[in-house]
Amino acid sequence: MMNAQQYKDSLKSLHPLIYCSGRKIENVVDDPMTAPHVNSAALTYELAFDPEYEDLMTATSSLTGKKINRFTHIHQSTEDLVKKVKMMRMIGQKTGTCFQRCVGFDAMNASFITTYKIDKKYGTNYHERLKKYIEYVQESDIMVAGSMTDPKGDRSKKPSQQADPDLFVHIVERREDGIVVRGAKAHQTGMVNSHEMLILPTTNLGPDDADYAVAAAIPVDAPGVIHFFGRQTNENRRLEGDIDCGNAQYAIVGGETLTVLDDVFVPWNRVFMCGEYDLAQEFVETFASYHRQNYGGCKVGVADVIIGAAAAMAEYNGCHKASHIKDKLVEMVHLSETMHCCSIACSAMGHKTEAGSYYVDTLLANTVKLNCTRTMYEISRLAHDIAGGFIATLPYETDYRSDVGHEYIDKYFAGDARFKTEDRIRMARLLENMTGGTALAESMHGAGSPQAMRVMIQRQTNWEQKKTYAKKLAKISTED
Amino acid sequence: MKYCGGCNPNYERSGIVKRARSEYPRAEFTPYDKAGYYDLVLVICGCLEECFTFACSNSRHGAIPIRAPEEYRRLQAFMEAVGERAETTN
Repeated sequence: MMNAQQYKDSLKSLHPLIYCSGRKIENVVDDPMTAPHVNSAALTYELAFDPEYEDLMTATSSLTGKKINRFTHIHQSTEDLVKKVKMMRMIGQKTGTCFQRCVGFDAMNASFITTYKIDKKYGTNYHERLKKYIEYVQESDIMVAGSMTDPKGDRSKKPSQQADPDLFVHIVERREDGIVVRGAKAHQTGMVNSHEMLILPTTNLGPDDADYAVAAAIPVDAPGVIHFFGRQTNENRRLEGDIDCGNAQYAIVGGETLTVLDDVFVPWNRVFMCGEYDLAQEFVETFASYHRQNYGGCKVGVADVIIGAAAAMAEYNGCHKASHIKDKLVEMVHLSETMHCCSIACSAMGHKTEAGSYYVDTLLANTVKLNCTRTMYEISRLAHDIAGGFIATLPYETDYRSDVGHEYIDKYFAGDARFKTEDRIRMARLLENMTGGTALAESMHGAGSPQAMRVMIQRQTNWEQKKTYAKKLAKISTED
Repeated sequence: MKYCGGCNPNYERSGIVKRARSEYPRAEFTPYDKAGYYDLVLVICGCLEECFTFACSNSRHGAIPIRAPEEYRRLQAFMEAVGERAETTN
């Protein structure tokens, strides 16, 4: 396993092509725009060596029998699935934001199940290739960016019907030594501070879309790969100091990118699907369900921080004894723990797959994430209510630090005199940054937009059985 | 000391160790290693759920779970039984 420093050093040896606001980022570890995201991912390495957390952070490899970082593990039991959720909550409590590494974790587990099914149907050997790749990932402890979402273009059309064929990643050449792919992946969490990406198809495909049925592992600095670092709400504050960032150490969400694959070569030993279009939907559903499982883990850890910040703000404001404040705080906990319940449930109700690994209960996993699309907004709304409007109107940190401004700002933003004004401002900025803009949109669309969950819930629900229950009680004949 | 995974502990688990080191300076408290051999293994869990399963076969006196600060008395009782007196009390 790598520790945090080894992870950071390993990133420095890579040379990804990253553009950010018109310039190239040469070193993601030290560049102020990417450093917080690196710090957040680095915690997944650091905690694996901490005796206080190693039981959650590490696992025994089913492939080698060695101790590995859990983020590279293939789930071997429902206990593993539960531990994943608990681990993510614990890390979220420490980072207050996304730590990115779950996406590759989920992509590898989804690929483990799906490649087995492809091989069973077509007699291919993707599963063995994938096992070798996963063994490499476990041994080297690299960070893999799970890479599913294509730009999608006109949402009413299939990939092969798009005006521009590159709006979904597709195979443009099959060679003796591998394939060449073209297209792009959007909203790529943790991409710039990963070592490799594991691309998967993003939608169900038909016979005309066979070239779009591609899964493969690609180094983030492979020739033809170009990353455009995403702009976030308030992101330039990290160039100006630490208070206004709110969470200067770890920032907000996962440092997403638009990652262009401009005729990228992939050798065969890193190709895990190549044209088997009828199993693309398997990839999508399996990855999505694993990924939706997470939201009652990491987001609950983040919510723990938001709730703590709101409770502290109530104290700083001198209103923590008001009954309506207590009610709102309890409501926040209720919403947060409801998400956690769903994630624990979909994990505990998981099952063993034909491939031998364990998979979540998909109906419950999709329920987790659909709840999250509402719940994180409501938790954030309640936090804003409790904290007060000044979280949106505070002066600049530079003015607070200035000779002329400090005295006035410190005086007029004071709350309960037992607490320092700077602490009140710091907590307000933490709340502001954790509960607005980019952070909220991620809760809505990360791991898929709400309608994607509704479609899965529609498919997974046994409607006929429910109707039968009702008809029996209503004494309506069910024999037609 | 063997810690549970620490997913959502109800108290600062490291505080138990800090207190033990302070009260029993003659004892050596080290992170658990399955290859080691110990007089006692303190299993420090963050909550009462005790979801953490731990089989201990490399300890002379087995394992004592501590799931809450008040269960620190279990360590105190053990120390008293083996004739180790606390030097300070919190």
